Amino acid sequence: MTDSLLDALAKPPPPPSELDELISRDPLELSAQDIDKIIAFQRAARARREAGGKTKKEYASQPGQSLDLAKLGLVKADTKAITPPSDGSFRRRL
Amino acid sequence: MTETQSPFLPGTKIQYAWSSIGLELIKTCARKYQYTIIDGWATRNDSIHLRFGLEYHQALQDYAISRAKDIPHEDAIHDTIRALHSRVYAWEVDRTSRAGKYKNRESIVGLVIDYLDHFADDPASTFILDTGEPAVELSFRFELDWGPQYVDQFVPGTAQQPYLLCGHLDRVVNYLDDLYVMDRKTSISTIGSYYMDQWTPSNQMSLYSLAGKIMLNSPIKGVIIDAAQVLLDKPNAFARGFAYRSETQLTEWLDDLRYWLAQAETYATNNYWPQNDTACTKYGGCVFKEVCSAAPQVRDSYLAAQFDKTDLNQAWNPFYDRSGGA
Repeated sequence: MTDSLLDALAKPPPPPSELDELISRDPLELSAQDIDKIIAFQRAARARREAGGKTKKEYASQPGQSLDLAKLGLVKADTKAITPPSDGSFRRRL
Repeated sequence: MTETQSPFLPGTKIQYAWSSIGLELIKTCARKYQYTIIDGWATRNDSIHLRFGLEYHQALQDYAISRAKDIPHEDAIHDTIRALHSRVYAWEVDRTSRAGKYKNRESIVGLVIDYLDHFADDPASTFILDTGEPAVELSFRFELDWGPQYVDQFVPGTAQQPYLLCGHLDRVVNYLDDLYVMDRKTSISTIGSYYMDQWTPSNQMSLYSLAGKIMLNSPIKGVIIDAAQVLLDKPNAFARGFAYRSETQLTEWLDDLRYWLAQAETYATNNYWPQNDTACTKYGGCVFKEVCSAAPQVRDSYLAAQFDKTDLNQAWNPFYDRSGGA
């Protein structure tokens, strides 16, 4: 059963977030770095929510804003780029 | 595609293979059981909850298998998310619905990452089977020592068919030197003490305790409810609760089951599943409440307008193998 029509009209869905944009990409186009980025995004969003910061919805409604993962301590400055697997294998090669 | 085996005796509506879902329904309300299991009606939100649950279980299983192979936490998360992404990237849900707002491809990825980080140093360790495999997503199927009374002289085997209990155990764990079945739940409601209290007594947790005991041939202390609450504006929340089951409690559950299955057979033989009108408002209200509130002659129209017909072979069939095998 669907929720009531009025309820649906009153609460429009939040606009797609940057994370959702990444997740919606074709897996064949997603590099190992992109997967790491998804993980880092989620960790940054969690850290922000734990700190009582802006919500995912609020961020999504402000185009142009992006998360600074380094400021949140989630990406080290000297992090090296990870080469995507070229042999079609599944596990990340470091 | 191989068709999944039917859980009903041939040519009848007598169910001989049962999972916790069917048992839960027949114990709650025979009419609800009829609409869901016999007729195959499901809400549109059911498919969202079902998909979300399946993806969550699959992802945590992938992670557990990686960790059992000594793959480090970060690499195991990476591989798990890579596999999860490849399954859900094209999953579109109606995000204006309550279910879709909370349960979608973005929230499943977020929930899995949060869960795995939260339990990176899990005090409950996955039990390793004699085969060396981790005890995750264990399918069980065992016979009871009785079956339906129905005998069809034209269908061989109906007289000897015992009842079967089937299902899946998410994980078996060692926790403080005791063995527990761990059952994972996702919820969009608060997972406090009220939530945890619902699992004792509980048909599902008694069945899982019994199944764990039979499958591992070891004492199982009960079930750890491993609950995750999906939140939008706050961090996802996690909580664990215990549903203990003693030997005598399990014996009582089996004794009661004999009566429930006999009752279910009577409904099927009479082709009539009565309403339990004392259960309509429980657990937030039955999804069929509006249907049952309508006059009997218009109920089919209500059902067709508000529900979808599902394929029993995929949705609630106890024989359905969610690993994708035959």
